[in-house]
Amino acid sequence: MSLTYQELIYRAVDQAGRGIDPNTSPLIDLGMLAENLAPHVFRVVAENAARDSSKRALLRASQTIVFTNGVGTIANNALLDYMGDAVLRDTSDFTKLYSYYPEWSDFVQGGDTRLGRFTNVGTVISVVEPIVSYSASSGITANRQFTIPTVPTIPVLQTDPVVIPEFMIDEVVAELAAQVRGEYDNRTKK
Amino acid sequence: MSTTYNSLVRNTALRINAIAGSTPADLETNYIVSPLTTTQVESADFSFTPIKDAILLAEEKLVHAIGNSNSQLRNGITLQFTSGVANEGFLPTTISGSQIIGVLGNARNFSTGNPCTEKPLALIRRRFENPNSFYRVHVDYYNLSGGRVFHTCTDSSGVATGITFDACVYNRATQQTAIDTLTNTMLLPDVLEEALVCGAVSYLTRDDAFSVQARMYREYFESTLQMIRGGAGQVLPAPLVTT
Repeated sequence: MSLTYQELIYRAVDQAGRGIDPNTSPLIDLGMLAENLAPHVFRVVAENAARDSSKRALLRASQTIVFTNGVGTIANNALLDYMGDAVLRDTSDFTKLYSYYPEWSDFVQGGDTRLGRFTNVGTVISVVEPIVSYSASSGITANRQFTIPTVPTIPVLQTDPVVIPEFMIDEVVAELAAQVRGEYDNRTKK
Repeated sequence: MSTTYNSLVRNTALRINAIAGSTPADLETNYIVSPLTTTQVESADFSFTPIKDAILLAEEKLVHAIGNSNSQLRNGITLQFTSGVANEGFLPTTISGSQIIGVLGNARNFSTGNPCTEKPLALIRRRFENPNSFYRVHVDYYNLSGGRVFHTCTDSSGVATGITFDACVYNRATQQTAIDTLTNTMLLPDVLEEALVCGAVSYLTRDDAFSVQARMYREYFESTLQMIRGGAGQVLPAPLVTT
């Protein structure tokens, strides 16, 4: 099942009005509020799903990172708590492997040089190619594909499909409807 | 609307004793003439044109009352829609040269035809500004403020478009011509024929002539106007004139 962003908002607003006379309920016309809440709900539902290892893989999405001197920026919707699940790839050479180093000092010192390595400080990601030592001034200047559990993005147009794992659709609609009603905040449930 | 203004004139003239003829046969002969002329309508108190003017006055009052109501009678008079008004534009006062009367009716997106919902001005401003295109889903909201209309209407591509309103219009010059021609059908629904005649009769009094009748019809006419303004789709029958 795929649905457009407009469908998502309409479904959430309609569900928010369940059990209430639509002739008297202000909820029936709260599309703007639903849109305001949508980014928050996307993140809450994704974060909750990511805590379940069986669902986390379904949240993985790829982004292209532009590295300059070995430094690039990760998009804000990446769930950085799960950097350990992240994969960095050179799409021109899939045999090239990169290993994640959580600690900066380990990243600088390096380990098995047959592997490339990457680390992050917040959304700033650094990479060192295989068989190369770390140098702050001579890292790669190239694009790499970065895959990590990610919060689904809000589509650009109302008619665009919401790119979201199948299992999350109903959860997002239900959570958004609940928040439009002001019933509860899923962030505090866990 | 099949009732002609000729019918209204003869009904009105009858109540002020202005149909020529001294015998029932003469009265009948003159009463059924169409269109009536000054030959058939003659009175010591009122000539032909003041009778037609009285009908015009009564029609104006009824039309204005209907225009200010949410009665289904609105559909019976010239319900039209305005051309598209841009956001922050002034509310139109005319449609094709005819004055808009009473309250505006349903508001719709001029491009898509979607009905619009009235919302607070601050909400409309935020949606119209839409910083960083945060809001994706089209909404058709509007607010009337200080003679202007503020709205969020866009076409299906998201490009700002206009808003249109249903409105009742009235053109006095057009109606004057229609009444003078006599054979034209009346503007209002046929069921308001009696009210219109009574309203016209209520205007036809001078000095002591027909003053009691005029007062009673005026009371009925005023109550009819009140009922219509209150949203009634049906009006009471005229009272029996007693002295």
